[in-house]
Amino acid sequence: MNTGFDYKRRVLAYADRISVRPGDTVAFKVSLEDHARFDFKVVRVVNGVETPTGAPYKEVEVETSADGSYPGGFQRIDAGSYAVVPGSPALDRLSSFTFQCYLMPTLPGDGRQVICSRGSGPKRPGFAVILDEKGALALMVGNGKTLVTVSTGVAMLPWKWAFVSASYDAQSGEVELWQEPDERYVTIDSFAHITGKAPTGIGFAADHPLHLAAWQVGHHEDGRPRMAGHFNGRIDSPRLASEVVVCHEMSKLARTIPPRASWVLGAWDLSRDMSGDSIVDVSGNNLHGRLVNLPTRAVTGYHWDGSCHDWTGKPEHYGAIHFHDDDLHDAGWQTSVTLTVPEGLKSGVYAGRFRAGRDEAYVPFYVRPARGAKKAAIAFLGSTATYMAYSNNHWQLDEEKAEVKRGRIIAYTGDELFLNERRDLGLSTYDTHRDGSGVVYASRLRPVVINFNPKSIIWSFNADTHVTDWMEAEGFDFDVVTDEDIHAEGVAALEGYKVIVTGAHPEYWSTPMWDALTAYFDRGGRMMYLGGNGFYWRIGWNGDLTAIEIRRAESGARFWASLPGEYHQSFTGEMGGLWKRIGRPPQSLVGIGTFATGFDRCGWFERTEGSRDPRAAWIFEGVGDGPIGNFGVLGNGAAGIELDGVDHALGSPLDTIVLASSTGHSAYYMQSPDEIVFNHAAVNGDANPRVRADMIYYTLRSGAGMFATGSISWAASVGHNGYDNEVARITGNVLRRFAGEEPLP
Amino acid sequence: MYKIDPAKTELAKEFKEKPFGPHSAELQKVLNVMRWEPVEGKYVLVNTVPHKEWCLAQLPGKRGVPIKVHEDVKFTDLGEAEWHIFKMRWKKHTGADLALD
Repeated sequence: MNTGFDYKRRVLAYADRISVRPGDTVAFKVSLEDHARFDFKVVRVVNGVETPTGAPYKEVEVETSADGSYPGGFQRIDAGSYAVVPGSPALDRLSSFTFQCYLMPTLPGDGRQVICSRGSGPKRPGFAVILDEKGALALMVGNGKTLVTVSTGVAMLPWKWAFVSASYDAQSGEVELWQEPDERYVTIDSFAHITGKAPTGIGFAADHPLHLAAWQVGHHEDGRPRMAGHFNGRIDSPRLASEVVVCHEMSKLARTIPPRASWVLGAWDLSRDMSGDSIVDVSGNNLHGRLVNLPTRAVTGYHWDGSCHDWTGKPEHYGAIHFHDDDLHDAGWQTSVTLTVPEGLKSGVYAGRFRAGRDEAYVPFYVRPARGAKKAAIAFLGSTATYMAYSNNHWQLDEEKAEVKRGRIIAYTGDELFLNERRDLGLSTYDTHRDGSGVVYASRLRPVVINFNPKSIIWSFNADTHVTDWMEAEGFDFDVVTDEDIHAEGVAALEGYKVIVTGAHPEYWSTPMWDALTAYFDRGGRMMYLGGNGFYWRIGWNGDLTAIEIRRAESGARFWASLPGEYHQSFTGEMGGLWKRIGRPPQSLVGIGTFATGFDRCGWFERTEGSRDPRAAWIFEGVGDGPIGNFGVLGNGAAGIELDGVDHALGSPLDTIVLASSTGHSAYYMQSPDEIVFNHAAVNGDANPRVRADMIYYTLRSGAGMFATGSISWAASVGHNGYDNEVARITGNVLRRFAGEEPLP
Repeated sequence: MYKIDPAKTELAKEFKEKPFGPHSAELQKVLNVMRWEPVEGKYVLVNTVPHKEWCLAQLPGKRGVPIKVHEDVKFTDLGEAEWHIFKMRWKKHTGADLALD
């Protein structure tokens, strides 16, 4: 921690729900440092970010029965994934044993890492099969007084599969370790087979669970187990035997599914319940377990041979789980405040505000209209899946070439400095884990300090408040609806609305969301897509909608790439990646799709002949012939960051009217990788005509209408000059027409 | 690979005048070389007062290790900050001081 510049967040919070209706409850979880109490208030978030030339930051306090001062304290986060098999009589009878699995360590030598453990860590009776500090396979056996560690002393190789086995004979005290890499090199050989001695007759503590990929070192004050020694890498086909089994017998067993031998105590087939959070014991002893903190599933296992790329086709090739010490799903904090959403509270964007002294935190939530209540004509779409995907983004911190990609010196906020030091807050789907593997899951059950909270950077949640702020300033009455509502309820979540207005970046869409929007258009619904790079990646949601999954498959503007064979989502079994590659380009849904990205400064739009088309001229009422949007709080222009364009081959309706196209893009704007099939030197904004955004309008035979700007920075320009500017005028002209009863021209 | 030529101070002058571009093709090459530096010790900025003040800082090159903030080197304009770092990098890559100021 630096001393002078205080960037520490002493109040952190999250909520159990982010989309609610009047009468629903929201449980807020709060952690304090250097404070003993906090004040709670609900605010309506009008404009989430203060900028020098845009509309001012604005929140409006709302009275609720939960207002007041609350006691609080520090609440811990145990990041790191693992599996837990509850204690059972079968485990309690364990004396001599053998554990074996296929193992791919990804950070061997980076601290002591546990593969399988029983007992409360090394100080309690129990055992742990580990990688020691050197990265060598080792077995720790302890009786509560004496603890013996026997190690092969040979470091395992990172990202290479090996068969490992560890056994203990309770009668003789003999320990045997077998470490057999798949690949043995002339000068680097990590094979090892050794025996050693441990005390005899060690009994193991009854009623203790068995853990994979971590061990339990105690309990937190609130009773949650306290875990440590997290393993980084893949475990496939873990087997536990109730006696010492010679290695070749175990090796043979590993290839047999289900395993059959009298001494098999547990045999976990990690390809079962792939979309859920359980691990299934197929030994017949029913020692089923549960996964904690979302380790990555649907990854290629030891048996994967490249003959299948979809885990649903050959699940036996996907018998591995990839654990990381920086995985996080549910921070698991105690509830600090329970809010009952007041009856009659207007639908909108709200946040719980938590203040202690000069420190504060906000947790946004969306209030939809009461069930059966009259809806507004306009619904603003809170892109909550996208906010989750970007939550706690470490990209600028961890990406080696961030400055080359951004085209200017990286300027960090205090929140990013804090995020860098509080790694337990979990990662975003733009990040890589410590071992270099991509982050495929993002959870909302954890505190977020950037991208899903007011007063942080102009991105995601905050960038979208530019739209709602402007609508409120212009007197438009609107409701809100979120991604998870559309996912869960389908088109019913959109029905009754004349127009859906998006924010700046509705990037992540599940199949049910996509299908719901298609159905909405089929029923004559209208949309204003006021952003760029939208409808780009396919995602999946877990069962309780607390996490999303993303596979960075095949191509696309991405900061890591899924490994071969891992393009299918664990949550859904669907092929993940770009909607374009799946066969549904964004152009086929909303008329435009990603063409280019760039992050140094933004351009502006120039009107085309289409803007004078009699069907569309009304959109430009009050707008001159000059450049549109050569101002704004994101890169000083309304056309930038990520740009979408029209492509009839990709599904843009043939009668799409291009109203304006963008220009003024620098050499740091480049065609998106999915736009290029062979590299060339003219991919830049100063040379390539496809580095542009197209502003479009079209109608469908159903009566549906589409207006899209194809630029992330569009919304960041509407607040310029007290909302009196051509960007706001165009947006207002369209919204008034789209929200009205009259058919569209 | 392009190497920065210390004699081509006109490129530095161009950057000083327009730190955020657009830049000539050759200045772009200079910037690519400078921006491609390894992460450890890399110069960055920290926004200490939103939209108003930035401090020079250096990346640790290791996750979780605090970013070193040079609170004695402050800027009130991002263009000035770009120029300050450009000069340090020019010296590092060419061994020569930039004598434009």
